[in-house]
Amino acid sequence: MNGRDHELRRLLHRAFDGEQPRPGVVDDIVQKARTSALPRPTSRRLRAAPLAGALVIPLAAAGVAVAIGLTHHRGTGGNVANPPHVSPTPSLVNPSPLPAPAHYIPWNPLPPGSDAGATPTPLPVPPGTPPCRANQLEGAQVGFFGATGNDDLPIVLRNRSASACMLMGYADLRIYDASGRLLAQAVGTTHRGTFFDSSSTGAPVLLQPGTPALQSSDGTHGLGFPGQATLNVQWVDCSQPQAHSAALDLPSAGGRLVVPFDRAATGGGACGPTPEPAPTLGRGPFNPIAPPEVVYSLVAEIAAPGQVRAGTAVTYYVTLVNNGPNAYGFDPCPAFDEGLAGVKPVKPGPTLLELNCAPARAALTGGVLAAGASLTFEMRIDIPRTLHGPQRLSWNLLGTADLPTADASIKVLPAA
Amino acid sequence: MISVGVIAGEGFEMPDAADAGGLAAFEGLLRSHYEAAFRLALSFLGSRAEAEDAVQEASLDAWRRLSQLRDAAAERGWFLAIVANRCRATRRRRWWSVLPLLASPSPALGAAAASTDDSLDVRRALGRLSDEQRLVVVLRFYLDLPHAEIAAITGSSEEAVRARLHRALRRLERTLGTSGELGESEVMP
Repeated sequence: MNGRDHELRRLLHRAFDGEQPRPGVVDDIVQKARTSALPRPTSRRLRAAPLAGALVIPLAAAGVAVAIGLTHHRGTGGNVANPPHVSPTPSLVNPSPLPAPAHYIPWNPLPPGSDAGATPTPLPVPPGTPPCRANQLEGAQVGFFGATGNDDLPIVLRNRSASACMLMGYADLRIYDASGRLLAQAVGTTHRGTFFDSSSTGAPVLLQPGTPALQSSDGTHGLGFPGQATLNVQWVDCSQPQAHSAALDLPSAGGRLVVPFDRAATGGGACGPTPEPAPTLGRGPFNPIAPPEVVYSLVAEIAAPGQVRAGTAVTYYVTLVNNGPNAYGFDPCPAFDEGLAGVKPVKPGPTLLELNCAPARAALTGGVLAAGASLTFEMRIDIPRTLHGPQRLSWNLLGTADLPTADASIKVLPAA
Repeated sequence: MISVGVIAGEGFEMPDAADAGGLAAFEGLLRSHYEAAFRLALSFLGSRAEAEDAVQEASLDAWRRLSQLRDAAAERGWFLAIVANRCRATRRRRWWSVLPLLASPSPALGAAAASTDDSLDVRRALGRLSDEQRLVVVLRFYLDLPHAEIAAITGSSEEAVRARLHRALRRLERTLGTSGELGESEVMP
């Protein structure tokens, strides 16, 4: 290790070493494992593990050409893909591939993050809901979010009054320093939209009373509740002036709301000798906070050939069954890992891929996997040439909570 | 013979007597590697609360998959890979679910660290890396893991890890304004 290596290590330790694990946290987790009837993978059965995904977003089925037939079974009226067909025993000499099920989502090895997902479903705005007035609202700047070189300094708004109101479109935004000097502004029809806005047109956003207050010691409590609104703020200025407050002049002559804005402009460091981009301030339209995450109960079923040949790519099928009461919209698109667990690891680590979600949503009625419905995905895995003998093919869906997992025994025959 | 593999279904199984050893192994794994997992998640996600949640969820994932761990000597990498996957999944939530990411350090961080510009700068700089770049930087320069183990955790080759580190360090240097000062010997021997 040289001095340069040491410098990065020093920076990282200085940034993070102040945080210590909570005392007793290991005991708590072990206790959960001991008492909460968590599933242990066995040779035949696993628990129906609920999956907390995100929103259930109906998407238009048109425009994505995926052949999938949907039938009904399980008695719940859900749309289901035909389950994989099971073939006779394949030859030992020339193992047969698994026959394809009648309907499935084709294999597509996408890296995580490929699927853009859908936009959150806003709470419906009842007719006659009045525009929000500034004195009804409370606002907070809620941190820093970066993506692909863009920086977002979003603002969250909540309704602190007793009656619902709505926001639509854009506020005029002005940023001030502690002395009240105007540092930047985005007003009228200019400087609308930011890198983080998927649409430049704002739909009505319902602000419901009763969401938690925004301010707390850590600055994050009370954020992210349905009935709140957000707007993205992108402020670029290489001189990085320090702000103190942001003034939002609400549409529909709703008055001025002043929000603490203890942030510096982003600018990639101090102004240098090369030409820097002109200082800009952009703001997005009002957006709804998504409804809370729904807990799903997904089950994975795996159908794999019993015998495979080393050095080949093996196709198998995973069927996700929605055993819970909530329709599942594959949004955000979950990732999965697949692997072979034999006498010794055949891969140094998990292979993380993303489900082929876009055609899945397009193929499903309303874009969602209804309660009781199932959907089959084609999967593929490379069998190393050096592998042989009994192996276990495992497949795990990754998401935000308990996750379906499944495995199947396969026998790997020597490479041809 | 075709096997229609494991089917998760009705009900679930309480750990039985045979699982007592599994529970002890699980507890041992956590006691040995929880702090590394927490530090990985904290530096990856930038939020203590998010990190604690991610590691707890990853731990329970590990408990469910404990039978898949065949090589006890590789348990740290196996566990950290699950933690990394959890962190990736957390990052892929809607942005309002990850707002604490790169926010100012919590008061619990301590005045000394919170008040230093370089502490904030490195957090922000890490936040500008891709998930995979951030992961290898943290594993190499914060947890001090060897390249081979990082490759195991990330499911890639050592060469890929080195290349990813190289790109990440160049980007960190641009962000931090420390051109040519970070970790060069690690990735470009």
